[in-house]
Amino acid sequence: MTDERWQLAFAIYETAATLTGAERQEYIQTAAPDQEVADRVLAMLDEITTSSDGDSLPERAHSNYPALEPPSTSLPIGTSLGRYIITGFVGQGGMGSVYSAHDPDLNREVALKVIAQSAETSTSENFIGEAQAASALNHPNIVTVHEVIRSGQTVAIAMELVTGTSLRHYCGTVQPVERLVLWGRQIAHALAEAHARGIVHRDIKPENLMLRPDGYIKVLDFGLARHTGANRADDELALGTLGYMSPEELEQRPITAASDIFSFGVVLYELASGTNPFRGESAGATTRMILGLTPSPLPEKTGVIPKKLDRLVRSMLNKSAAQRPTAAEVAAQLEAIAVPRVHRRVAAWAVAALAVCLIGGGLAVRRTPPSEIQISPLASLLGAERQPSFSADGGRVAFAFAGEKDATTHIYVKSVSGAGSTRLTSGALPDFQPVFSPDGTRLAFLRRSEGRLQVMVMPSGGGTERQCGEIVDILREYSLMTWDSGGQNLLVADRVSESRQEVALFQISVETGVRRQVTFPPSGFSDWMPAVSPDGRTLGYARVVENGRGDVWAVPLAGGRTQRLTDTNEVFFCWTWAADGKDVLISYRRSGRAYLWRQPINGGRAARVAGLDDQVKELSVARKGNLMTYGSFAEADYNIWRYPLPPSTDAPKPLIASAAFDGDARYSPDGSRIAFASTRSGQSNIWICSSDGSDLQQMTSLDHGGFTAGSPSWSPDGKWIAFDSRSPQSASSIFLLNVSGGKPKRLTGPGPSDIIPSWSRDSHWVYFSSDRGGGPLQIWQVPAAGGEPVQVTRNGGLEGFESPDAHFLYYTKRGRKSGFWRMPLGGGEETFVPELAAVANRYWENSPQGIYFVAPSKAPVLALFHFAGGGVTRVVDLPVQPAPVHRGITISPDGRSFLYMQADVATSNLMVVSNFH
Amino acid sequence: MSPIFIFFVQGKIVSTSTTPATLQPDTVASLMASFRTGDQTAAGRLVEIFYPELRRIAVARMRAERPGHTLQPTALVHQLYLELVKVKALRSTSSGGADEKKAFLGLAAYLMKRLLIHHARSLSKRAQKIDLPDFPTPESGTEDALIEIDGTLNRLAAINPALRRVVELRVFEGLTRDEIAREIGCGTATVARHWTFARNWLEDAFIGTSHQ
Repeated sequence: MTDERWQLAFAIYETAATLTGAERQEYIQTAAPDQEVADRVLAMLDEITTSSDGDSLPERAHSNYPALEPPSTSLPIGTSLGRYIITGFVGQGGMGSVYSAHDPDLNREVALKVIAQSAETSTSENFIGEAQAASALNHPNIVTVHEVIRSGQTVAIAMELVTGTSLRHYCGTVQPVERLVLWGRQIAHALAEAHARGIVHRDIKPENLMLRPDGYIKVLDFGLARHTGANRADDELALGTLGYMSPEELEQRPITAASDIFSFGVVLYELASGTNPFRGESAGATTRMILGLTPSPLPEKTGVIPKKLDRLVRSMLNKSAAQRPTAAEVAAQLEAIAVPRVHRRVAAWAVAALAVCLIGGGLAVRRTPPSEIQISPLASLLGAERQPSFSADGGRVAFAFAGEKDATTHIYVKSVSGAGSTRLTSGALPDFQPVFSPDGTRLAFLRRSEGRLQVMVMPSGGGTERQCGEIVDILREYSLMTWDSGGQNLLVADRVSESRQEVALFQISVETGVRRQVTFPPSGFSDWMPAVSPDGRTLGYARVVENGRGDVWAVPLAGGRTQRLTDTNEVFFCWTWAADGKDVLISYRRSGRAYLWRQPINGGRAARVAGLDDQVKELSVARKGNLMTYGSFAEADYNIWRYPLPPSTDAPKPLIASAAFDGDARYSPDGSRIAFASTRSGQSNIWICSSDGSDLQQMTSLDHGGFTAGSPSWSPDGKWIAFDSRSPQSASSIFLLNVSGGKPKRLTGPGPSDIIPSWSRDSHWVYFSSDRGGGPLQIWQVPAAGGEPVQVTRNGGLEGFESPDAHFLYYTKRGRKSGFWRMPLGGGEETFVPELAAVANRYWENSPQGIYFVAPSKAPVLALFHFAGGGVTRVVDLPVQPAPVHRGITISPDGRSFLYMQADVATSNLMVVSNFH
Repeated sequence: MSPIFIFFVQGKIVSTSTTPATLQPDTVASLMASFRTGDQTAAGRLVEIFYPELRRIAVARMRAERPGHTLQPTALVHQLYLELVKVKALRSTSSGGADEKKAFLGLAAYLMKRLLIHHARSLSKRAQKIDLPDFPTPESGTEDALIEIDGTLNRLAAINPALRRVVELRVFEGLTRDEIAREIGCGTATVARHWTFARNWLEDAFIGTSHQ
């Protein structure tokens, strides 16, 4: 298949993957241009589902490296497993060995659980799935699963390393009621969180409940028990596990969330009484007791247990799963038991969580106002523009940028309306994260120096820099700093202490450098991305766990209670307050994309910011003027360069460059403008700019449902641009765009796949390639004013144009055949043009003289085929190989230069959104 | 044409050492010398040595860059070349090592192409049976082969950039599906889907060129 067909196949494949059964079949059959593509897509989809992991990794055949053996004996210290380096042996459990390990990338210690592998491969597949599900759990009382590492037959789980004592240690003696309640609440909240997400622990026992020195309970090994515990009946049962099993598990009935409650009840009973209520002389005796014995009330033994607690614990031990309370009910009842020494932070957290749950459930959805936002690039510097910050009045944007010559990042300021950017800092150390002071007179920024970040302040028009603080360089790309509303203090993120990983927010006085901690994240959580609300009263921030998952929280700057503002629990990229202070704007990862969402802070549902299809990784909102700016990064970067045509000797330069795809460029007939396709605003859209690259204008905004537009073609009178556009649901059609304004109008379809338009010399007709009528692609033509398409070619045709004398249609064909065919427009047989046999890609353009094309070769050359005489001449050498799928060259009508699409190193660029409400 | 074995490990490396032990200047230098007299065994051994080194550089480069950075085989190979010159395993071109550089680049390109072929769908199943091109001879190695690799990856990226990225992470970095998912920030199902597609395309691409 040709790459064009592969590209089509990919689009069909991606959409079909979201469908199943007959629907999938039907979609593929309708969407595929022919049976070959359909079969290929079907076969590939089958391949995903039939291969064990969709990966089909080659077996290790001959290796210079020792394979990872199943850890029958412990791994020596210093062994690396993935990127982790084993630093110690923690213990052996039923599931395998646990090691402490160092993660050099994130410079942290983790626990590494290396799983003893059973013979069945399906076990590990299921197990990995469970572990992944558990890794989605984000709760201060649940041990965070960082990742699952797989190596050959061995599976290891990297998780939060917890230092502390297991509750096993406390089970032999009667524990005070306060402990019971404080520990119980935390466990109940952890279970409630997991159960709400459909994850059952399956193996609650004291060994899996860790008490840290700071009073936190951490529940270990969520969801991991089922697949690895299959053979545990054979051993170790006398010790513990059996004694915490629910009746349904012993009877091999389905295990549910209620089973966790039973096991949890046993743990509570044991902590309260000092003994397991079902402790028998033998496994058989224990089993009989679990199935038949109703434990005696607790006060009989201890005398100090509140009646409420006794009733609660025994209700948890009900033989009937349906009669047991839920984890949330257990939590609520434990909260209701008064305890003299309340752990304040835990209590506050629980209250806030409950409050959010109640609000979230009770309010109606608030609709965001209809948005007709306009997106335009802020600056067109070549390189990575990062970390935009708006001045409060919306007039200027500060950003960090590493220039073409100087690879060090420095602070730049640009007026939103004017041209040109001003560099404010210089020097050898990288400067980044500029933030305008509220009055716009100063800029704060960070300067990286030997593992530390210096907090710097300077006048926003340039001038003397002053250091007013220093923080640990945490090597995260999160935003770390903001001003308070009076401009007297900065709020910065820094490590809670040198020895701890957690990050909290500190207030630093710009004048005196005095600092004070303002947020106090629970252990395992960090507070990042500070942003002060527009009224200046509230400090908002992202409270997240190590992997970046969490919510927006807020604390009054004058002091007061911490509140959670969102309950999405997603992986964050950035957030800030909307200008009205009623909503927050959050970019978090969903389906691998970082889209921007608007979330009301008084509850209510989040909504995607309409019209903004870019991924948003950094953002800043102006307080005035309904302006927003954001930074976005793309994965591959095709840019449009301008090269001189002899005899011109101008230096080649990138003319149209963004972090997204820029290609399909076309000079307007008078040479004053360039139309091109770009994905800089998300989906591929048609853009226009002046011939010098300035005055960028987005001409299409097909943002509904993932439309893309490409293949722009100017009408010879320069008034119209024809383009093709498709959505995942429908095949491509031809559209016309009036260059002077207005909505694009549909010229063909919907239905068949119509692609790559071009114009007749008189601007009356549009040629395009289509599969209408079945069979291979043929060239068709349709009146530009609208009407029925007429088939032009009979033996295939992909991309064509009329010769300058309007006597011939020249066209390429799809498939393996390279070269051009020529057909008399007045009727007649097609003939192959032998001089153009080498044209195998879409890097060509017709001009009045002939056809310019890139001859594919190890050293690519731009050549010209002359209509008159038929000869081919070499024009100029090209420094970079073409990318074959897109139209890659366009020749300026004045003959001085040509544009060439080439792959460059990825850049990022900043976009300004206006009319942003 | 001669049948060639595939030696490369695609699982995770477990090693008690964190520094590369394979990059012994003396070994490389003497193998290069043998290779340049036409010793094909030396060529095979060098390819074996270069693979983990290229992968190490690939990993380091990807880590140093922002997510979304595209790996460039040419840059990768040149970095390894410079490192080898630095440890004096190869002579620099300025001290008469121009042929050595050429030979090295040829070997590296050959290695990359073989890796890609190795991962191509169905070809991988037949990897030990199909005929792969001979090792490059000292004379045949040029940068053209590298450009060809670049071109192949560019073509794949043109279909969809995500496909190229999965192939790079899988083939040159040796990451697992889960690691790729983490790296890219998407689900493992997406990685599996893209990987399956990319392997099918690679198969097509190489079947298409194997008769040249």
